[in-house]
Amino acid sequence: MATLTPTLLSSTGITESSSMVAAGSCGDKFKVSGNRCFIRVTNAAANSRTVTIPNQQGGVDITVLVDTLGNAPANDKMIAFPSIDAFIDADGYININYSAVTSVTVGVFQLP
Amino acid sequence: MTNQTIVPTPMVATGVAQESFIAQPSEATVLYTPSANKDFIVIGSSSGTVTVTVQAISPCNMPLACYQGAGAGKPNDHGLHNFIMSVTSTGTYVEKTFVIPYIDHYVDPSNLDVNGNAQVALACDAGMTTNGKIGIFEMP
Repeated sequence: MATLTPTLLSSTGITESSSMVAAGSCGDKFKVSGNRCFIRVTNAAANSRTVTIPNQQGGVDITVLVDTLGNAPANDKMIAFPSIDAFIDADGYININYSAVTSVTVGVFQLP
Repeated sequence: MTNQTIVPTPMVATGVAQESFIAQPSEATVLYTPSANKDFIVIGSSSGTVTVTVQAISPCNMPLACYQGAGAGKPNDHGLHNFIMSVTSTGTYVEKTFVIPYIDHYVDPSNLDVNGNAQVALACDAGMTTNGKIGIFEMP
């Protein structure tokens, strides 16, 4: 499982796509400071992907369908957390799982 | 003068397709009601440089932080530093995502929304209204 580093949004501006990387084959994880962060997942494949973020407190997982490239812009999803603490595991990470990773990129973004 | 009001798109756990909520501004001034520290803005260009400018309404005690936007730094008629953000395309569509710091200095009491809340006015240049796009998003 690869560890992602959140990109801080700033007043100077960032290019989100430059901060996105290939999804890890065994999933990804990241740590955040504060609760204002979101994940962006883009799928350039001909098959849709499902992104799952497990709830660590027994609640409902976050499950998002990221559509095919042919169904853009639904192939590019930003995912926010209603209550981020519920998704932080015992080691302090939020985990991201993918139904498949081919042609999938991911980025984590943090508001100041 | 006609303004375009944009209601920030709520960021949700079910996912938001960013490009579905980014569009060419229909007017030269875009208004939105900010939520403290929860908003971010995306501007895009398909050709050339596009720029948005936010007039500083009240003095800022931290002027350096108030004009960190690319190309910013010139004070307005009141000696206050505006927030300026640009993005330049050299052929392909490009976007820039940013936050406006110290947003309280940019809310305009002369531009109230239907609930009486002061809005922020984003002045779009000609590039924005011809080759640009803008989207405003709000975190939970």
